Amino acid sequence: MSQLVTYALPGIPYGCVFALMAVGLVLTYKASGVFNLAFGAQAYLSAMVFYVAVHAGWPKWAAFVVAVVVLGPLVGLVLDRLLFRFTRTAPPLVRLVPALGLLIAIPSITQMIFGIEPKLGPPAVFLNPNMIYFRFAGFPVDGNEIATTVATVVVVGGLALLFRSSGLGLRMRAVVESPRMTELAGIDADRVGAFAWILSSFFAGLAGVLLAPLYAQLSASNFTDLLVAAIAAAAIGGFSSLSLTLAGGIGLGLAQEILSGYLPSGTILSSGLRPALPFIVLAVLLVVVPRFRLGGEVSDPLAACDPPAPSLDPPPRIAVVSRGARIFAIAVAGALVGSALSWVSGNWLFTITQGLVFAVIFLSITLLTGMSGQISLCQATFAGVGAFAAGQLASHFGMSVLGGMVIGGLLASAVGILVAYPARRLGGIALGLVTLAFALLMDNVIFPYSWAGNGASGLVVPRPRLGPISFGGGGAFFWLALFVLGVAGGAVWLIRSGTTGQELAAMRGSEVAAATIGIDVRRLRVVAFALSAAIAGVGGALYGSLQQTVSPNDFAYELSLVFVVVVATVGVRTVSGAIEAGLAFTVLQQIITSLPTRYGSLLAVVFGLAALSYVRHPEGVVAYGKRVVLDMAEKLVVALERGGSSHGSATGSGRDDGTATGTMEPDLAVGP
Amino acid sequence: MSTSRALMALLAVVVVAAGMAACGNVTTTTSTAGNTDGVFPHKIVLGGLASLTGPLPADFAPAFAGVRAYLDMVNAEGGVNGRRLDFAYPLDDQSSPTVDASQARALVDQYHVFAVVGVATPSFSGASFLASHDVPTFGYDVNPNSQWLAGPSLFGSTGSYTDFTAPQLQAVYLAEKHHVKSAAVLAYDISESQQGCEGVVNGFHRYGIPIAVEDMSIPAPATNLYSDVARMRAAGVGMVVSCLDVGGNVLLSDTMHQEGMSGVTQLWFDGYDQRDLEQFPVAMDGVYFLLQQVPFEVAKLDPGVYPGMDEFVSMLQRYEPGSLPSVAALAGWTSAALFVKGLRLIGHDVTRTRLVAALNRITDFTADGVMPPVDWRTGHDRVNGPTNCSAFVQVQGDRFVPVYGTPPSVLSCFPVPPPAKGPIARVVPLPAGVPPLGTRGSSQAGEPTTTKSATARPSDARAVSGA
Repeated sequence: MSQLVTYALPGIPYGCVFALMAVGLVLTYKASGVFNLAFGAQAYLSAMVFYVAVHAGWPKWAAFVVAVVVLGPLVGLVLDRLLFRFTRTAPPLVRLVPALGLLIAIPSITQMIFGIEPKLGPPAVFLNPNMIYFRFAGFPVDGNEIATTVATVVVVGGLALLFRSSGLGLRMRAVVESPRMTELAGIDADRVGAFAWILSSFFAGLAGVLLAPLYAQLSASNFTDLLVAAIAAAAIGGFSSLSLTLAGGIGLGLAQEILSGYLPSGTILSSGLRPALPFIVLAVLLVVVPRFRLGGEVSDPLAACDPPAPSLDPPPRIAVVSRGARIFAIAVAGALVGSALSWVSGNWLFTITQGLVFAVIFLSITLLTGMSGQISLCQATFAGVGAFAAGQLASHFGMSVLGGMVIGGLLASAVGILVAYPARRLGGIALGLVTLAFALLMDNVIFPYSWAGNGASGLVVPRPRLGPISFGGGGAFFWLALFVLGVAGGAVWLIRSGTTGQELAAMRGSEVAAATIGIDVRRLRVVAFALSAAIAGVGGALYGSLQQTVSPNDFAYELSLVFVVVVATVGVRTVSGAIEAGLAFTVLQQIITSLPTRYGSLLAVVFGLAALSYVRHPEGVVAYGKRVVLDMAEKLVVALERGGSSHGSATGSGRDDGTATGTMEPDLAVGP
Repeated sequence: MSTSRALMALLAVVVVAAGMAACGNVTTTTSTAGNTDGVFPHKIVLGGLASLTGPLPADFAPAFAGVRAYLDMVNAEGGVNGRRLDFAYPLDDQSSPTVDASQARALVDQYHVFAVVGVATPSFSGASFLASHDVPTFGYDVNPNSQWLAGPSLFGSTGSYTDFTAPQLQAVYLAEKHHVKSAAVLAYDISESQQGCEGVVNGFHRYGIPIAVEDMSIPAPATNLYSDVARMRAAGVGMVVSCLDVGGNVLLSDTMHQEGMSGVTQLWFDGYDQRDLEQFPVAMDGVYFLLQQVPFEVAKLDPGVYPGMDEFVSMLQRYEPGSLPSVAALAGWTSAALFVKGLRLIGHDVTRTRLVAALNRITDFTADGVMPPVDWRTGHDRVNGPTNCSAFVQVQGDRFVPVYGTPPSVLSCFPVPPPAKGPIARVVPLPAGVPPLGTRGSSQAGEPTTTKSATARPSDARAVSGA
């Protein structure tokens, strides 16, 4: 028994670390309906400002005031005013993408401002982290542990009091339930929402400053790595109960410490189960607990009062504009292919080929998210499955990578089914979190095995050969990538135009409505994951062959988040959007390498900030830009025609299909 | 999807799969095109590839400082055969495998460099491309995925092959010195960290040192190691080997001190850095580190004994005044030194092919005595032996102090492969080419001597801990 206590006690302060982060997540979710995945990034920002101020000679109290009391709430206010105020009644994806963008952008902006030099020895604000203040059943309690535990308990207690006993807390809960109904009761929902963001951002700053001294070096990853355990703790609290969240955090901390004490060392149990525990808990809770299933999402009962959102699909164009756009697109594509194979240097050909390969992987997001509205945060993991399958088959059985690509796609598809089947009842954020837990599980537990991703050693994935044709050279591989992209794009286009595509579109529009017309939504979700994972798997195998060596680092879970942000930003609904996203991702990355190293993370900033536009332009900024240009072109053509007509000549241009009402622009749009 | 369409799709997959079954993969071939790229009458254009940005730039970026310091020194002496060495394209791979591969191509296809000097990255994806184009490439071989073995034109700073799983005798030797009866081995739940300690575990098993606590699944980054330390205390552990990063190591040491385990021998693989020591002097006091180089401290403690190290420290200070000596900077320095040595060997007729061939005939490269010798005739092979040399340093007060060398050298060498049975790790005579004392230069007559086995470098654990 005493041994159990010895093992368990360290889990309490450890669990409080999870709980402090989790409470921040729950607060934002309860008060604004946004699952703020950027909470850890906000914490990092405040911790960095505190560090820099203290190292500049400021008194700790002054640094604390600036970093936590001023900066934290200010960030919250800005986020609410500019961003999340407009997402309260928006679909889950619209609430998630900007948070992902912030998660990616804030640490990069922070590094650009404060430099990339290591920030060693983050200072503590309250108590000496190296001093043992007392012992509890033999367990030494230092300043960090006291500060974290006390702050967590005070925060949870204070918030519970706020929500249960104060008018403001009641109004905050009401705003989450229904901003419209709250406003009908004379409450300023915007103001209440802003307060919630200010409060939660203050807690993010507090968490940042309190948790930073736990580590020898200040790093954004320290905070983001805690996020999954924090999400699991928040799930234990049902994303609403603060006290259960606290209990969940401490419970996870205890379980991890006890497991480390009792599991036999050097076995799969100790090396696999312990690190996987938070992911397993999160996935099981989300899948098993009924409240997380469809309908558990925060939604406004009066949402139906809103007029329907304007269609994101390209409007019908007059024939001359439509044809012009088509010719322009073909000319750009032709110029790109021609340039790639003629005058550009070998490294740019490689970069463009990388763009095509990423476009294949991004098509999996087009299918899953753009067509069916499902959120997946593990697309890079599916790509990894394909790449590792191709690599293992090539190295152990001498199989051609082309064959490995097919098998890798099929294997990834099977893995997709494995993920989607238990989660088939889930939707929105809950589904996204299950996929995130799965990605982390694969990263931490499966990919390191020699039979999978072979850990840090990775795998060699050779270039393929087809009879006498070798794809070893850059030009030949470019053609292969273009061919695979064509096949994958064509498949997505065919799926979209077939029955499955129509069903997916119906599911995206409304799962309830889709179910009422006889569509088996659960089965369809599994099908969507299977198809999407297959495409990602093929793309991953192609990526492996292009790079020639791959390791789990190539498919780390963070990349899945970046992929969603990039595709959603550029255009998630069209095949052309995926291609543009792939090319933008690699070409911009290459351009940024020529900037001073301080701007090395500029790509994350660009896409992260661009993702904030998703609230206003869910079709993607590039798609929106194209739409604006075509609108202008159409107006110009109409004006010219009118001018011509007034002089007695008619051009006879009509809608693309020759009818008065017109048809949808024949871009490769996948939405109905 | 209708049934007929689904069948068509299935048929197409089967046909494609059948067709592909008849296909194969491309075997790597080497191209000698661009053999004299970057070579001009009065200069040679060089490139570099390092992780200047990303999660851990401090562990890799200093490599360029080492390269620049060495090349500036050579240029100040008039260059090599009348040619200045122009380190014109030091590129950043952003710690990304995707960018690394494209930057390697940029160096060759766009900037037309003659050689790549000072590769320092956790993901050397560009290795196979550089090898296939026979581009002489030199750098910091921290990559456990054998990328440095992609071809004979790739030269890792201490040889191109590292076997992390081979029984590590240095830890056993340290255990023997301290009469350790049982030991603990700690690593993160990250494969790079685990691999770093795999050789230690194998070594302890082979020589019968019981491992009382083996925790290779610590969640990174560590925030509390009390339960591990409590188990270590309960088991009466006499030594702990840590493959954690410096943050985890400091936490481990602090917790051990709190639990009255100050007398336990600690061997860390991350933290050999003066800045870390200045930041955490109490936690690091008494800790041992294992190096694959002559310690920097010999320049102060024994000036003139290791002229190569004296030169490194002084030139780094002169040409890169903002840089402190570090393992990465020394890797950059030795990379440049190997390149220049090869260049001098081939004379005026500078081609990649001639340079690579000349380098691969060198039998005892030590960069003027700063590291154990590398025999480049076998340096690209997956072989070990006959010896593996390292230096031990211990933190004593506010400085690192070399210990346990085999006089008159600071290096200790062990047989590779280790004897299957018998007494614990045996120190063997220094192989030929080990830093000669009091003289400059490293060439000594003798038989080919070293390749190396698993001696995890100090930054290995750190390099992966935040990834």
